[in-house]
Amino acid sequence: MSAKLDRAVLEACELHATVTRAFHCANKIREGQTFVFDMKGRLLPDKSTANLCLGIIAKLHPAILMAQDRIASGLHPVSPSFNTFDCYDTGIDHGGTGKVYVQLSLVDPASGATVQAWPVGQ
Amino acid sequence: MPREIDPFYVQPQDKLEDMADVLKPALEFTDADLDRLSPEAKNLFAGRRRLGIDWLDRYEVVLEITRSPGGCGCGVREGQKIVFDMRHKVKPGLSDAPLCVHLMAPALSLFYMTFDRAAEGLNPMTCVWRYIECPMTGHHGEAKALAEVSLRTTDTHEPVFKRWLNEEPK
Repeated sequence: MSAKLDRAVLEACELHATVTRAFHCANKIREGQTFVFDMKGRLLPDKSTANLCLGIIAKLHPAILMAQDRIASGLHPVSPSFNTFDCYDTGIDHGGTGKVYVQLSLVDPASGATVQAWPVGQ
Repeated sequence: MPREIDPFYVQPQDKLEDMADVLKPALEFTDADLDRLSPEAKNLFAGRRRLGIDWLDRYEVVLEITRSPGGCGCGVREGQKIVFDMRHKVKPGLSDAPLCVHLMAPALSLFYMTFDRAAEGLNPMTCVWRYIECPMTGHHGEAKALAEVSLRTTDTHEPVFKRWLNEEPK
């Protein structure tokens, strides 16, 4: 657990979508690579290490809307229920080709540390 | 139940041998993986037979902001661009707009169509869905950013309007 962040500090944080698994990806996305967004939902290409594939970026759009909704409600931006996502490719056994999975986290760019969830109501 | 497939498209016995040398390293496929591909996925790859093996490298999709009232605060401005390659990757070096996920996400549907149209031999860019918008509404849409999309060549950046990029079918 960590303490609830001041709103200004929180809005300076970043959302990191870190690749946890990838296979047969035509865009060569690899495990451990990241897609980094600011809290307005802007993809930050210089901070991202993955190839910037819209097939996963677009899938993260609802996650970023939800993060902004959670911030407005005073909650940690990353939902405890919806924090893993996959790309739109259905994979080789389901009519597609490959698949990329990511996990979302909140990162303080000043320290590089992951900001853990804080207790509800704090 | 076996599906019948129009002879124009890739048939089940077609193993894409003519492009296996390209596909296997690009997608980390084995021969067994190529066998496992669905007819639909094979047809998608066989778009290379219609538009040329390198078609994915010959074109780019440009999303140009045509209206930006600034309601969402992401900072996109009229006239700015976001450029994608044909594998739907953002090209940050060619883009001058903030890479706003709210505006980029609707563009994914274009790439379903580019692959589908390539498999038909058509210009990959849809002739119908040429405009996209971000989901911000504000008051009756006054905060909404709008963009127009187009196809251009990678090397000269010339727009590509021709309907058929292979020979027009009889």
